[in-house]
Amino acid sequence: MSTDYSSFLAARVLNDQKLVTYRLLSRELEIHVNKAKEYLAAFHETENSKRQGSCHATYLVTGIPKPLVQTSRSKTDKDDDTYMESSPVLQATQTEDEEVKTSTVILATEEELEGAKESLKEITSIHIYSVEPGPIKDLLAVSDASTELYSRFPTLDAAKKSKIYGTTLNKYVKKRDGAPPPPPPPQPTKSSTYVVPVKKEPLVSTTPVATPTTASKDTKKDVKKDFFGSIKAKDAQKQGHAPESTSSSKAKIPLKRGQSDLMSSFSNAQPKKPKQPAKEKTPPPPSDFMDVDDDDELAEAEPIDEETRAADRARQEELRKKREEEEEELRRMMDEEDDEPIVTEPKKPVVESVESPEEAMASPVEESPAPAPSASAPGRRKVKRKVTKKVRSKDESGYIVTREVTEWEEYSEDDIPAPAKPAAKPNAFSAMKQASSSQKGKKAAGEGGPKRDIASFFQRK
Amino acid sequence: MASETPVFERQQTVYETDPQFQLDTHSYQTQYVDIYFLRLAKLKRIVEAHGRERWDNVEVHGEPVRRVERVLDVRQGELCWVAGTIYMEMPLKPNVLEDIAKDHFISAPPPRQKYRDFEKDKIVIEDESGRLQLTGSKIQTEDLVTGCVVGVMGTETANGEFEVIDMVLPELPPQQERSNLPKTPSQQKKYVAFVSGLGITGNIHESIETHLLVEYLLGEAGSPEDNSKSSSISRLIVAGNSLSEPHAQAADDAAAASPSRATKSKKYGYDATSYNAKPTTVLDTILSDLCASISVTLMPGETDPANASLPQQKMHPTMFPTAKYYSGSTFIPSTNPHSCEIDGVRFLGTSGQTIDDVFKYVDGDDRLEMMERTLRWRLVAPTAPDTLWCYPFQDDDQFVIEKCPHVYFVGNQPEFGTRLTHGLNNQVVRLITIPKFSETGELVLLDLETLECEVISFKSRSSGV
Repeated sequence: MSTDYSSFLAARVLNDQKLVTYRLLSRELEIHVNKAKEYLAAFHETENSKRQGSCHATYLVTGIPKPLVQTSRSKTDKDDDTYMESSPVLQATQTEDEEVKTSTVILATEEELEGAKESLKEITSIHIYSVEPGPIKDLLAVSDASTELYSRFPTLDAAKKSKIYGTTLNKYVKKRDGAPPPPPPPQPTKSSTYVVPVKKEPLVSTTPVATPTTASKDTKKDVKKDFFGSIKAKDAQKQGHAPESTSSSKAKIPLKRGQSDLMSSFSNAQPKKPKQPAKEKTPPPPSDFMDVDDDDELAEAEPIDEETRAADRARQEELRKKREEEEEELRRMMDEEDDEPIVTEPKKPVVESVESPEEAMASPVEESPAPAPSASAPGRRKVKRKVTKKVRSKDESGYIVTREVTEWEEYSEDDIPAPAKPAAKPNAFSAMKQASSSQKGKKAAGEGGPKRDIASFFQRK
Repeated sequence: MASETPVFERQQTVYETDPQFQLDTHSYQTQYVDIYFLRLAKLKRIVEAHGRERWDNVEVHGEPVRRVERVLDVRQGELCWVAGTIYMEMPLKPNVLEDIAKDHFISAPPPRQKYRDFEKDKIVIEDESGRLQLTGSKIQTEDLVTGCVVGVMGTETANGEFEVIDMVLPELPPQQERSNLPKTPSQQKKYVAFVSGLGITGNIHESIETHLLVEYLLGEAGSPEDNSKSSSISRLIVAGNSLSEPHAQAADDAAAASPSRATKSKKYGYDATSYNAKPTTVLDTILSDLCASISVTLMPGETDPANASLPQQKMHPTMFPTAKYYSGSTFIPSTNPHSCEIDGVRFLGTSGQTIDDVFKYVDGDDRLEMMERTLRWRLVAPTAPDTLWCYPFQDDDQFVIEKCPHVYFVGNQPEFGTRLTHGLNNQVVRLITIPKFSETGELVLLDLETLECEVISFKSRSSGV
């Protein structure tokens, strides 16, 4: 054991030039904290006897401070006003100003140890707190090490903790069962990274969008891995499809990918991204609870069987078109509203041109999977959740269709009581759109889509 | 190895939360006037009982003191007493209408430390019927605040003011006997620890004192002697401001990172991108570490993520993804103000806003005195809803103290202080002001048996600058 600790300490303190606290050592070696304190002291001594000043220590001193502190505590009125005690009750209380027992816990560096001792009237204990390669200017380094403790070592249950480390035992602690909390990866950064590619795509997108999509998919996949570990394979497969399908026709994608279940909804969404105009709004980093949402959605989505999935896909196809139109609409609104003065104008035509040929091609193929409108409700819901992932996937179908200006205020959407106004607007617009159906692609989709649906979809299988 | 050193076991205490301050509904549709009405209805009876006791059959210069039912029934030149709610008309008090009027001018003046201005302030007593302005040196020095219910005795002067000769307060509410008091002092001490104003920032360098505190409470730091003491601390009450004030750092960072973006996306209202989850994450890890060994009651405070108006409701467990698994045993999110019973000792406490606000009305610095006054007024938050945000209660003014606590604590005060206060009916209350840990590094211990206080201060000394 002794070699164990000294080699560990030597490696960490002398080689890595890191600071080791007794808590860290006890966690590393799974030993009692008091043992760890001893080891640290021994290490400090041996090293310094070998070479003076090769290692440095901080100490924790506990004790009772000199009465200096007490006097400062006497209550004096800071302004010199005299008090007029009015009630008899008050006068009674004035007399019982009792002494308050005070004790101190001081963390001091080697150099300050004497000073710390002197400030105490009575010393209860002194023990080594940490060992570090050289004198430290700032005890913040020590607190860093303490923080590291939390990030590196999982919390044990109370009983184990007290047995191994000597933490005060509390038999009555009950930890609730439940999924262990999700590991806290630095999600915000991740999400923000994949937002970036999404935004750039549209510019490139007049021609086949293969590269951007894959790019975005890659990044997206990274994120998914966290919760979608098992589905990774499918994801990969999907990825294979992506370049090809996007380049030819988007409409085909869903059909080809008969097998992929949940991911299909993602992938469906993906090719659409390129169409999105570059809206330079900053996406809010999805925060933790967002991801929780995703989890839910996953759980919910998985049990869905093949049929619904296929139907979903078809539906999404349809939804996608609608949404595109809406986006178009929104973009226009935004322009009018001056929020996004930039790039959008030139892009509109681009997007449309991309859209229409594709749609034209799409419609024949699409015949089969046109969904019954009623059935679309659950599917939509599912996707809706996905949108909560928002930002990255404005293109993702669903929520937007029902109500989402979201692109601008992602946060409001996950609260259900999202501001009514923004929600209403798109709806109205979409309705208008559908009625007037000014866009060609949409018409095709609208006619070809919804009527064939279920029967053909069964045939296909 | 573990056998070489004794295993310390945490002292246990029975804890019962009083749901007094929990809100079931969250409707802010209603008017605040009902609070004053309810308060007066509850306290007038009590004040009048005290008034009768004091002034019945009393004669001043041969004139008997007469009780008057309503404020408006006071007749000029007649010696009488009446009960009502105090309202302080203070020009320095923030006034919403004034704010709006000034909105178009220069930037707002800095918030005042005190509203009191002896020259200009008017003290008014009011009830359902009307108002009456109070004068006299007696009332000027009483340190009253808006919202407290009092009885005043005197006469109306020629210019329509009421000259106050004497005054009564509701005084301390009845107190229950402590059920747990052992006949002989027991060997094993049991403590309850208080801390407030941890002020966790989520910076990379969390203050070392906070870590020392955690280690001490867990019984890892110090000698076995220290550990044995820390194991006698049965629970910890965190009285607000666990997180530091959300300073603009996150926003600044965001702005610095994307100067170009700032111009493009103009957001109104809450900007989600500026949200910084770090402080709560750090607090969560600290709490989950503590909860494995000691019970923690977590009260929200002014800077914590809870509703801003009193009573502040429990912080939502989802903010504590790891600590929440201890809820139901050692992790107890609670309201502010909070009242509970621990081993038969009744606790009442707030995170500090109540006393901070009273402080602005009265002259002087003695926070303990202000605490005592709020007890004698039987109001936890007398100045709500005048200058302190609160929930518009409809059925019951929750801030009225009906049962006298044994321990009354207030968090986030400038310094530690404690003393006992005695009521007219032998009530004894331990008053404690809990300092901000982030500034003083002080943890307050309360001996559950003797109700004596101890302080443990955590410090660090380094040779560095």
